[in-house]
Amino acid sequence: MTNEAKLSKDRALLTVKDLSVAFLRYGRGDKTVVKKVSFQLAEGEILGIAGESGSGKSMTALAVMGLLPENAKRTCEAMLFDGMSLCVPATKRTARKAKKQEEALRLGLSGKEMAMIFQEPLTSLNPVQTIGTQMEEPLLLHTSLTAEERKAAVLTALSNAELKNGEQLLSQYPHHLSGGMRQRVMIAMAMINKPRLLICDEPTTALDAVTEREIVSLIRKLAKEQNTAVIFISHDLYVLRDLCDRVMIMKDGKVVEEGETEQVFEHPERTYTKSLMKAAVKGPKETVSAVNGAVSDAEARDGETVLSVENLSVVYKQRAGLFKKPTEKHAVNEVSFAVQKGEIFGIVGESGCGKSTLLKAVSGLLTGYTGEVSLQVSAPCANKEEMWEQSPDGKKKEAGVQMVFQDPYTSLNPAKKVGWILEEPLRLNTTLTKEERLPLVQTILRETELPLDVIDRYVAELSGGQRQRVAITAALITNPELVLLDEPVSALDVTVQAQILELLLRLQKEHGLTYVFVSHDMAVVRKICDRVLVMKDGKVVECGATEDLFLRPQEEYTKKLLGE
Amino acid sequence: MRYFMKKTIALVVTLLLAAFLTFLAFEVIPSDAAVANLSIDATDEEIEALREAMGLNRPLMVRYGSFLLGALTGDFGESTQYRIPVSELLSDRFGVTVSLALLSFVLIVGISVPFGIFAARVKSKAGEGFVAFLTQTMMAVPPFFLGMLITLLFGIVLRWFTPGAYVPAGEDFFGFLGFMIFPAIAVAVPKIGMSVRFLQGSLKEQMGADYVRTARSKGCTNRRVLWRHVLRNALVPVVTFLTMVMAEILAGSIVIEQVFNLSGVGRLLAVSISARDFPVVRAIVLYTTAVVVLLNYGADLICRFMDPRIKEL
Repeated sequence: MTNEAKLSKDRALLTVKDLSVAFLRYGRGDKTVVKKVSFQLAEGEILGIAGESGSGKSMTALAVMGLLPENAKRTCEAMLFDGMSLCVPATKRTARKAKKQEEALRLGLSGKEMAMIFQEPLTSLNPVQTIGTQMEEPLLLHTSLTAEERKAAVLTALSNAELKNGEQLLSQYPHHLSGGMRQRVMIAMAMINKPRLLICDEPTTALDAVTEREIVSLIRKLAKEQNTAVIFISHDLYVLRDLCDRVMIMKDGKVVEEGETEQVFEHPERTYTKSLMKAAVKGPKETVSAVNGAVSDAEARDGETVLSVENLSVVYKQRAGLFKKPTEKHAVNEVSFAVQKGEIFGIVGESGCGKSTLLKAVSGLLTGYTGEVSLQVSAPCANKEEMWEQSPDGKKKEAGVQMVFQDPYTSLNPAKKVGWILEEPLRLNTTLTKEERLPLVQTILRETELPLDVIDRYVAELSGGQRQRVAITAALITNPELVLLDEPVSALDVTVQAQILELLLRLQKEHGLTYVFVSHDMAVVRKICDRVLVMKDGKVVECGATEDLFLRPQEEYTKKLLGE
Repeated sequence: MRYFMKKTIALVVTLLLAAFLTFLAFEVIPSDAAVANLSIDATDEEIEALREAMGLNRPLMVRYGSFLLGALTGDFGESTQYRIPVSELLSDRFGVTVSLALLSFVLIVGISVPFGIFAARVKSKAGEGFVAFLTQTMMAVPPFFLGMLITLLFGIVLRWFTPGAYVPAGEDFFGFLGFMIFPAIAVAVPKIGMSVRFLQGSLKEQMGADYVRTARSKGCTNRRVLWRHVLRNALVPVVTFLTMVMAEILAGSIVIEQVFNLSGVGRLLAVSISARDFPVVRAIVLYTTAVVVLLNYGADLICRFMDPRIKEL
């Protein structure tokens, strides 16, 4: 009782007390993903929730919005929004009635008093409805405005979200817009009824660095203008520090630490918070390398070129009409660079700048480019000479280059066991028998710090970090000299990201590997790359040693990318 | 509009190509028709004269042109079996097959769409199991057996119709409907099972999509989410599927026509093939390919209208 009295005195907009969320699983007992989480939010306050994936931060937000999946059950002592109880206590007998009551309240509040923005801007909008139709739906549901008034309100909301050509946008479909624009539409739609609470669930994770900053400042601006309270969920601590009044750190469904942002960042109390902050270190390569003991020795090598690319262009032809001449779109435009042996070469740029296309052309996954790509990767590694002796000559070059993709969830075959996936490169490139392949797989699994029993598991049973380890293992098993990494850590959360980067650095040092590392995350690039190439619209903007480039960017675009 | 133009051009080209292949298969690849028509001891002059008369000595493209012209004006030659023009022979049969197809299509859409929506909303294990069992059974029953069951139950036991006594629509429309509904059910049942499954799967997939969560966050009721957001997305693949079903039943169901003693296209095709009545087979092949191509064209246009993401070719 004392607690409740205290809560009401604080005049909080949202009060959550002892919220738990459990997934019901047939025959295996329930799995609790949020455990007794309590927090409060005042009018106009911005609360950040941080934590690794699986820490329950998204589930907490969905529980507040009443959007939990159907097999999830929420229980709480109290969940009050402006004095109204979102979570009606119920016994078994009154459960049905309570649920109906909750649903009725939710329908009234969602989209009006509280709104939500999701992580996936590409799929969060209905693909078959125009932006205009979707934008006006909250107005249609919660107000009695006429069609003209609704249209005017939609146009205002769009321009508030800094979207130009609102009139034109109304009749467009989501697929006409870029990811950043779709997220702006989502924000405009969430804010259209001037809600008092806005929940943002990792709204910038799928976006590139420049767009991310724009979206964050837009949310800050709108929240301030309309005095909206915000719950901002992110695994990016820098975004939270920048934006939030208070932060809450979650781990395994529990709140680890909560407090004023500066307080938590300057003097973290819990070791977990400290490790989370350390994992997100935004520093030059040397400092991190010193910690990890993985010093790059590119300079010490004889400067042998492993990969050289000259005037590489990839042109996509787009036909505007049946009888019109096709127009050409330069995805990659006259790019030249060379990668030295033992070097980590970074390629950065916004999404759509052609960095992935460039990598595909280098790997041979994409043909039909113009220009020269020459690879000098024939010498086998010393420690597994016997494997190479058995391989037919022609295959050596291909096996000498391997690639790791961005999304470990979809780039591994879900129908095959991990052992099969790992053996495949050996099957294709060598003549080893099944008995000979298995020890190789076991050896390399030890190196990539994966338990040996993953061999008999399916990819679906592994976590994101483990999956990316499997992808890296599969790439390294043929002892390539050059590994192409296409955003290998973008889909992972910070702590796992740090582990994977550490693994990549260690493997690179131990085996003298050469990496070409594509990323949009400047912090990651700074952490591991020796040299960096900056791309924009298919062209090279700037290229140089990482620290030089980060400390003394020459081009305007590089400065913008670095957030100065 | 550009999409429409392109699709229409593609349609015409496909139809011409299909007609050309049919022409090749029936006119060019078989042995010389003039030789086949004359007795074995015919002289070269006689053969030449008949080739001249039949127009076989003209260039290939000219023959294709006149074949096409004939097909367009409904002149498919004369049936070798019945000695009457193919077009006359076919016109009655078409009426039977097309009305059977339309009737069963109405049944398929009318039953499987509401039932599919219902099936997608079923949540309990038992309910899901029941839907799966029911649709599986509908799909698994062989059409001839189903036809016989229906004849037995409604024709002989209940006497709701007289088996084998087809009533032409021109004479007595309600009598015609009262008869045709039974073969239509026999045609429709397996297809309903398939369509329900298909629609249920499509709806369930869409209900888990991210935009559904967005719609709910805006305050949409479950009903509104289903009707305003999910249904249109879920129906796109279903339209293509139903088109294939429609093409299949329009091509004539040999088995059902046989069981219910309907003189439709399917039966005519079966009889004509065994009697080597090539002009009839040729006309039916042309008809079937045209139906498939035209329906696909229609489906493409409908899907494009329903889903703006479908790209320009």
